Amino acid sequence: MDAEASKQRIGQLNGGVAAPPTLCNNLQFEEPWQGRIFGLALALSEAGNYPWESFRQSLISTIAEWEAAHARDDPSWRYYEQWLAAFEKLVIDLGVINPVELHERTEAFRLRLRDEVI
Amino acid sequence: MSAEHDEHGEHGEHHHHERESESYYAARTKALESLFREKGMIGVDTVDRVIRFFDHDMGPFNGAKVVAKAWVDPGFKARLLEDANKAIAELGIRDGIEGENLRVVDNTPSVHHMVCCTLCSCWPWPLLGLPPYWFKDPVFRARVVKEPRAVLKDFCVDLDPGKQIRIWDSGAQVRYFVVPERPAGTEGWSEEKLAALVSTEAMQGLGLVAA
Repeated sequence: MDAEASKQRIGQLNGGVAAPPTLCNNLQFEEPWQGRIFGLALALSEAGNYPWESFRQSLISTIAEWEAAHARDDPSWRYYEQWLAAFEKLVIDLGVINPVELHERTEAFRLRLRDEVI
Repeated sequence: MSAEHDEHGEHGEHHHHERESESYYAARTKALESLFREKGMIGVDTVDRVIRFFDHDMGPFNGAKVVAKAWVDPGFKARLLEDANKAIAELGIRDGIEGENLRVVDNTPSVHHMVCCTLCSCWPWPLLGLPPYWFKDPVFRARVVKEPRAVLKDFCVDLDPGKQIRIWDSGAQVRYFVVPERPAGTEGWSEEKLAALVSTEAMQGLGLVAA
């Protein structure tokens, strides 16, 4: 985990809407999964699986699509849902994750059929 | 899942309740992390380490340090207003992103500066850490230009009506940073003690500093 590199990556998101929300100067995660998906996207980029810019572009376009389809003050907005969608798209496009295995694994967790602790 | 199928015996009811509430998003995220672990692309503690780092090592400490220094050292303040990137380097703060300049504006008894955030704005993250939730809120971005005093009220700031407000639009090239007014009654305080008073909001003109 390269501290400076991570700061830079997050700094590069700070062009407005793509910036992660914070509260009282800490990252603001409303639910634990939001922190997990935040860390996952950073960690995989840092390990060299994709350039950070690819994730950033995926996030920006995902948010732009949401904004085009919703009113500006739509209360259903959740920043980390955009982050998750952007990440999924990227790793599926890269062929790192197969959509079928992702669907099956999701169902396994959702239906409590898998004991793995994440 | 019913309580009868719960293997946790006497705590069955409790677990039963918790175990029903796995959301799609939580499950999806677990699935992704699980798959990446299985493929050996991350370790079991990789994500924890990332989150811990961001929670502990980013924050507005740097900005508060700059403000405190400017309050106690007029020479530093002059250099800060003149060339902020150069001045913060004196304090060992590195501005990580190239091509973006920091500009510092100074609140006075007659002028209150506020930084506004339009769609393509930038946040002075080396000084302030990750941006707060309000920064990226579309309604906030629209209102701050149109009705800054009402926005200030939302932030619990009741500004003297005689005070002039100036709004600065942080863009791709320039990011603005506000040195708030030093509160009365802090004469002789150490920089460290002063820095502890300064909030992120104050350094963007959305809050005042009180002792």
